[in-house]
Amino acid sequence: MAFSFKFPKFHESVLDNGLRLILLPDHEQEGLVAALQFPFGRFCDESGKEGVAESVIALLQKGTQQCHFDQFSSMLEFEGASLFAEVGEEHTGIGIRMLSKSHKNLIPLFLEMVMMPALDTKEFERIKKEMVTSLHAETAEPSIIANRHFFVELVGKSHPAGRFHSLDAIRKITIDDIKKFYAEHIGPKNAIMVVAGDFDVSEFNDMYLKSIQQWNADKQTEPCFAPLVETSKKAFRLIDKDDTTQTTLVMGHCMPGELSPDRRPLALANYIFGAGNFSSRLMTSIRSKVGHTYGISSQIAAERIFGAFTISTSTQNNQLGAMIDAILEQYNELCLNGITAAELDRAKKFATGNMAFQLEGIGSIAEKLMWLRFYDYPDSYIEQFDTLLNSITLDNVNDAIRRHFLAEKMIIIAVGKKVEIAEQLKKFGIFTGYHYRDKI
Amino acid sequence: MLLHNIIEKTLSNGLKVICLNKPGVPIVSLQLWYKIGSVGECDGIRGISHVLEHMMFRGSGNVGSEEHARRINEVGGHCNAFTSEDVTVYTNSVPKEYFDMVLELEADRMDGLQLDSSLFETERKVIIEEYHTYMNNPVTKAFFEFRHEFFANHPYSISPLGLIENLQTITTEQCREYYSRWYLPNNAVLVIVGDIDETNVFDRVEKYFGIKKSGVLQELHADSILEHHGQVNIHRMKRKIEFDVPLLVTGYPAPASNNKDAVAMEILQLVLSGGESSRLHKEVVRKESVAVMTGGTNNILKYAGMSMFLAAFTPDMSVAKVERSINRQIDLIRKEGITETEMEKVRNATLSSRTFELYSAENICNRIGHSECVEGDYRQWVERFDTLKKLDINGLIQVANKYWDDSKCHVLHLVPRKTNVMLYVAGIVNRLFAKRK
Repeated sequence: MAFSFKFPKFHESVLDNGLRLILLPDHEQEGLVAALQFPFGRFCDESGKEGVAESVIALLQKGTQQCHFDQFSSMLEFEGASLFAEVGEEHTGIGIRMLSKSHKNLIPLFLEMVMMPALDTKEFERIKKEMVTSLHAETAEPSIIANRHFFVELVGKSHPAGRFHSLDAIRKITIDDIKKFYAEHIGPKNAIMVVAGDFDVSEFNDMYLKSIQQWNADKQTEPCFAPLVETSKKAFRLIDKDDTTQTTLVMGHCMPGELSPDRRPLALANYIFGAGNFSSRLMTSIRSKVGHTYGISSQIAAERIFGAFTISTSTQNNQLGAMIDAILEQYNELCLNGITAAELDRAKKFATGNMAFQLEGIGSIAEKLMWLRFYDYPDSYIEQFDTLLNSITLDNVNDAIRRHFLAEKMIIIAVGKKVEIAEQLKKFGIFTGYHYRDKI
Repeated sequence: MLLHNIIEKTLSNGLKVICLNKPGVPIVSLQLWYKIGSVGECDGIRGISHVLEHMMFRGSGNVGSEEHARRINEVGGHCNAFTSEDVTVYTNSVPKEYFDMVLELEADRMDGLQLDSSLFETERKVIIEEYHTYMNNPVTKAFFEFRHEFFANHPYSISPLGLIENLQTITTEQCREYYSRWYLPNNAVLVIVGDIDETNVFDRVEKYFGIKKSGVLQELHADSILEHHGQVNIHRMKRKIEFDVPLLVTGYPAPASNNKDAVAMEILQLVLSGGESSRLHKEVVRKESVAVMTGGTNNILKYAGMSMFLAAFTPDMSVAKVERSINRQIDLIRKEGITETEMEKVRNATLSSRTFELYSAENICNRIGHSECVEGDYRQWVERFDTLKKLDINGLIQVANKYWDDSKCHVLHLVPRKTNVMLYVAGIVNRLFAKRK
């Protein structure tokens, strides 16, 4: 099947203040999305004060210097609009979704929110309280516990991927930390703004361009990206959570990030191994053939340079040993023999066909454009995606597998009831024991 | 407007087909809604609708086990299924070139399911794993108990996940019987949205589904699924669980989905709990500072519903105080109704969420299917905004008084097994801080 996609016509410019502005009119529906992406994320948090980036983005949404929280939220919600935000590892997005008829009230409010936020102390204390509550709620989520232990074991606490917000860290964050972080990171330089939907470009420029051009942030620092870490050891952790009948497993190791030339071959390999849902080797062998789990998948978390490969699943405590055996058998087979030509063809077909779903609606297109600009990829990356994929050979994929899928570096984290699973784990190595409430 | 272009046809075998051409992105979403869910189950087979949903991916005479999903994945599409109290739904989205492929696959398993006993035993293990995945979460587990008491003596008292003792014993024969009884074209609705050719879409559907035989539909257990107006077995439940945040859940009997009051309840719920300008957030969280977070939802099902409110608070706060604070807001609405500004806000919120739903073929399919199969007519959803405009504040006060009836309120209090000192202190500090300002 030939892939054919062309971005709708859009207007793109880099303003004098460094902001890349993309205006994408689309009149399919009467909706409008405005979104900003900044080149910082939780990896920019200072050690010991993890949670600052998240707090800043939460606090932005609590009113402006001109418009107190109550008025701010009432204005937004009266118009049926909603804010959305995501603090990632190395980039952060914040945006607004609205009916296009509301833009005269809400675009200025959105710009004011980002450029002149209230950063109010009282609101900050509320956010801290919400974060504390969320942290407590997370103790009931074995997958969150397992993932945190995995990354701490993988990179240690000196690497930003090994640091997470904690009660201690949240307690230490002050409003001054928030204001400093805002001054250093929220600004037009290296940021991308996309406005997509039912609007007129010249009207937009007449009404809002001047305000956007006047946005300046003198103290803004350059983006920072986490380095790749080469681990050279196997490691095992057992986290005791005695109220569970299932054990949650996370296994994996380091993997190169988005900018590695191996990124696409590895993504294709991962589709075959564990990301391809019912087509994947893990799902077929472990769910479909033996029924050991409801779901099993593998993921590659790829930041700019840093990356990690993980396998995630859960199974009843009494069959944990058999489950790990089955996973390792599949993993070792992949390391030894790679994937086949037929499998590669299947993975390419999926990736090409699936692209259409990633480009449905203005929000998805805006997101894709921000992603392309963030990594400096040309539009042809999407528009000629099939050509890009077809240039990847079976040798490319299997060579990447040989270099990056390394059994001797496998970390295994198990969160479950210790008395029921410890014995089964012995044959895989020495597991360091923790309790799920332990600080990590 | 896009939704005015919906077309529909009922085939001679009773299968209702609803289509919408949404050009732009070259994809098609196709969903087959069977009008049977856990509400149709009886003792001994609680969970069979969900078991059958799993087995629908395990192959027919023509399609191998899990080949349905694999073939769709391999062209870049995705498929899934879900079982609710009222319906079992099969969802597929593919690049438009594969529309016929997915029609053929979905039609094939409408009457060709194999139910192989060996595959059944493997899938039983998967389903039991899924059951435990839910039950491993202490809040979910407690909520299932709450629901059991709330809907006492009603089929909705048991979640579509079923009962573990039944999941362990349900047989292939029982599944086959259930399948042949309910998986009939005259008990199903096919919804198709995407880049389709309206001039031949019904012909293409006819080609694959026209040959399916209709059957005699049996009545559900009519005596047990009369509209539920709230049982009074237990009003208050308290559970100590391994979860560090105290939670309060209150539930009131709500109207069934086809009841005209359901839309009014939707408005009232949005005013009370929708967003940061909602009454609960403004009063309970911000002004009185008795809860950290509040929320609410109306779980409106085909034969009954539950209007729910939830609050998370710190361990130093008395649950009675939280409950009183929420009840005060409910009471205000019962007495005074809502303001014109709130009414306008709800209209805008509804229009906005509708506008953004229309960007996605899959979302439109979901809405049409749900409205047709659970509310009784997909036009209920299409015309929702017009219905909202017709409601007046006096009518809303009547609805609030009818359903938010304290004598039928059920309360669930979840208490952390271990009080967390940090959270306790944080609660006190926060309130002191709030008072200082």
